[in-house]
Amino acid sequence: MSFLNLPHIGFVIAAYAAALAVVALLIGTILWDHRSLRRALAAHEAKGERPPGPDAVSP
Amino acid sequence: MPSLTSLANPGRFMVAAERVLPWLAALSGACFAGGLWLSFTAPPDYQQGETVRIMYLHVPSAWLALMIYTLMSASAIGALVWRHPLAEVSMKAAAPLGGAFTFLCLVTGSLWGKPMWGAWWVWDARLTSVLVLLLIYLGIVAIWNAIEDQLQAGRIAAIATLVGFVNIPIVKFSVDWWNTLHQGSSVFTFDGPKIAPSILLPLLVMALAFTLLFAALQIGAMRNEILRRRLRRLAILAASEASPQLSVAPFERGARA
Repeated sequence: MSFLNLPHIGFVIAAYAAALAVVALLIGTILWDHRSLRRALAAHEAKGERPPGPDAVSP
Repeated sequence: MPSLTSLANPGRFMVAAERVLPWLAALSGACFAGGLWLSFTAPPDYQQGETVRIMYLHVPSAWLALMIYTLMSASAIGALVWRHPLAEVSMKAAAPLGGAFTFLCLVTGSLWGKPMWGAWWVWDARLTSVLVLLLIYLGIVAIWNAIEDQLQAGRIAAIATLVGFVNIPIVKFSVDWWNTLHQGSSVFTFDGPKIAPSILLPLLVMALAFTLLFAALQIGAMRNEILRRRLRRLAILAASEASPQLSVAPFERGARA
């Protein structure tokens, strides 16, 4: 019996597809957010603005 | 080696996060590769058949849903009692992640329930309490997004998180307290796991992979939140320099991290 003919395999594939979609969405959102925040901070730093305070150093 | 207290500082946390994140991501990827291979090579269950493979996603998501909420509650105590900015950042970063894993738990549970129970959904105590957990997560995310003053949002979200913690033992013990269609505990029991080793091994490897993934996502989301607060502070300072007559104090409180 081929893999696709196994009983209830559609439910298994749907579950793994849902998990892939959720994980990809989480990773993608965090990476995209990080890139846009870095870009916005770099724009401020290019103008000579730096956040004040002891934790202000941009790594 | 830096102690935990020395890391509890946004600047040092950022440096440590840059170092740790690639390792966590790689370790999580390796565990997922091994876990997925084990998941699809494990034998089918004698009753559930092939649908047992859904359990390798459903159970780790359910564990994470509870674990993340517990972490959020510990962070809420840190934010309320010690007013620690990193605790607040951790609490805010964890809420959407917890919501996503709870959603995944419900979706995979539903996809398992249809072929096994004959229904996508039943108003069973376990299912209903997990749905309530998802609504609590969404409510906390809404609090963070709806309130402009982040200091006030942090306090309200922390109180809401601690109030919502009452649901965690209800989720965990719902299968013991009520007659439920959902099965009882089968891994963490006093007599040891009730699951065959051929099914238990992929389940534990996938649980480790999911936990490492969450750790990487949490650190990444916390790093973003620290950057967002710095950006907000810079924007406020730029606005105050442009219009010195404006008082920025009430807005600056929310950008203190």
